[in-house]
Amino acid sequence: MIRFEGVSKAFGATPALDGLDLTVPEAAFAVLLGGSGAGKSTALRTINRLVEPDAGRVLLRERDVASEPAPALRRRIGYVIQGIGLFPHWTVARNIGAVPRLLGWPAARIAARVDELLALLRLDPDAYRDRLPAQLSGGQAQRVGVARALAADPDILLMDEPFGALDAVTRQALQQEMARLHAATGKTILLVTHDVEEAFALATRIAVMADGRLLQEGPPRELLDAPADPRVRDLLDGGAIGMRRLALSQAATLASPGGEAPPSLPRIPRTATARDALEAMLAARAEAVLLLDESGAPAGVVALRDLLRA
Amino acid sequence: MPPRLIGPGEAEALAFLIPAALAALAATALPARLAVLACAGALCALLGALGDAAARLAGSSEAARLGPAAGGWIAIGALLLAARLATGRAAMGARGRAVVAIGIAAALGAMLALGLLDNLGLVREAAARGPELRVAFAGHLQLVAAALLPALAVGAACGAIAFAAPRAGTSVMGLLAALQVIPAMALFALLIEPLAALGRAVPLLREAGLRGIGAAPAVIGVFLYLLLPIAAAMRAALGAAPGAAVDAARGLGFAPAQVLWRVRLPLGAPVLLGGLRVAAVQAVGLVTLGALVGAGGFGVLMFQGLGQFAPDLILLGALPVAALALMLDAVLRGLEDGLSPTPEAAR
Repeated sequence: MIRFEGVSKAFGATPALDGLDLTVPEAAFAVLLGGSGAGKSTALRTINRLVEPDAGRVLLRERDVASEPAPALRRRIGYVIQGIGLFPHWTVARNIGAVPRLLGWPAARIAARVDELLALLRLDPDAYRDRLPAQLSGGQAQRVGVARALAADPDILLMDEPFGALDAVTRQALQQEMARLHAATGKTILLVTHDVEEAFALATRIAVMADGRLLQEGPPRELLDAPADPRVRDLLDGGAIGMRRLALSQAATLASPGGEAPPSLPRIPRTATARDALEAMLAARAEAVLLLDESGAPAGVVALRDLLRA
Repeated sequence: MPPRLIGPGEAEALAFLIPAALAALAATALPARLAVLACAGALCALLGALGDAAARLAGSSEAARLGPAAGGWIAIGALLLAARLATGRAAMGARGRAVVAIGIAAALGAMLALGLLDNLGLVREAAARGPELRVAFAGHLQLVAAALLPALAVGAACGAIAFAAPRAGTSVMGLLAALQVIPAMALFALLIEPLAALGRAVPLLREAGLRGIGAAPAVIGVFLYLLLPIAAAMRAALGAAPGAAVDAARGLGFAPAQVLWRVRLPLGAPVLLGGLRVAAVQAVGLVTLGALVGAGGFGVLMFQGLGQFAPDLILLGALPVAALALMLDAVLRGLEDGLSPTPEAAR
């Protein structure tokens, strides 16, 4: 759990954080969302003390982060940045093993951990461990960046616009990877972004910030249904509130028992979202879709009007 | 006696110049590796022909001093330049260039050992002044080391201060830059009187070799000149690491010293070495002037030669200085290439 208590920070005369109060629950995939200058990166960097607050305090698992030396604190916190920041003079393996080396792990344990993480990030250890960062594509480099952040099995993972510099296809692939990693490891992740799509694709909780303050925090659906502030509505809207709502709903929750469905209906997996269902209907010019379970057997029908309940 | 110029109509002159010029020209048309060989071959042939001509002209006179005139030197220079350009065209890299340079030096050494060049004035002069040359060589190296090593320590410290505290750094760097404006001769001369006074005041220092005349003003003067290139390189080297890598290192929990030793310095090493290279080459050249305040080194031979209008003696002082500077430059450049973080494969 991460808790901000009245955290303020000014750079010169410019306030970046203005009494931020925010709690990120354990095991959440929390996204700090806001425009540029909202203070979200500064907030993130107060957690690992790359920024020291002028007032207020930050608690990590109920312990003030200022109560221990910064390097020791940071070695327990994973950190991924937009610029990736791999060490260009070190191999992939040495980059990933950076924090374990600082912690004095034996070499064999580091080597095993490096291979484990490369495999987890879907990079073939034999092909990648001895490469230098210059020999990686942007997406591969950021996979290594995420692996490096996870190397010493940190309590939490901080990500500062981690996919901002990647092309759309690579970004989407890595977003899916992160969602999978979060589900697999159960780690608390705090990710900063200005990209609303990214926030909705990843977050279990979204915190919207503006002018160094928290506007609203909660599950994505709650923010869509009950924005607490016109600025939250404006930020989330983007002309797509309805579609976002569909994207957050499982099609299966809207389905009625299929019975004898006409064979012409488009078919989608039962795990699809309501948005996928709408897309399938529009693509096939049909008024309903048939959900199929893993074995391919019919598992319900979603009709166009069912989507209104999403 | 002033050296006599060989006129353009004389067969000997054309015999040297025309093949050399042809070889240098042809080198641009040949495949690169062949061109390197052709230039090296032409260079050896030119030197051999010079030695042979000198032997025939000298006859039995021991006092005669025969050497190539301007045309001969230009031909030698043109061939060296053509060879260097050809190594570049062949993309031979530092190791390939070193092989070529060592090959040419070995050929020159072989010709000297076989006595083919014995009648050239320069070689005669060198043979006559063997012990003096050795003393000059040792003295030159000592002076360079005595100025360069402390400058490395102090300059690096100044550069580190300039990096860590940019505001204070501006004045430090400004002071070092101001030193560069003082001409070397003036600086050496300015140092003589205070050093002499210091020597008088503290006899212990005088016994340790600190006098107004001698090595002290030259070493201190050169030391002061070297501070700027080294400090500037150190400042640039510390800032050479990508900002994201430094941010990541801090964020992952590297302590400040670990950021310095594991990230900033390894990534800045080529830049720092570049500064060291500039400083070393500068030191080799500047120390030459130290002879004027009694410091020794190859400058002694050069200034003797200048005083007596003896071109061979001037060259005997100047050529080793140039060779030393080029060698230091090549060795340190090779180190720099070796230290670059990106391997050849990734370029």
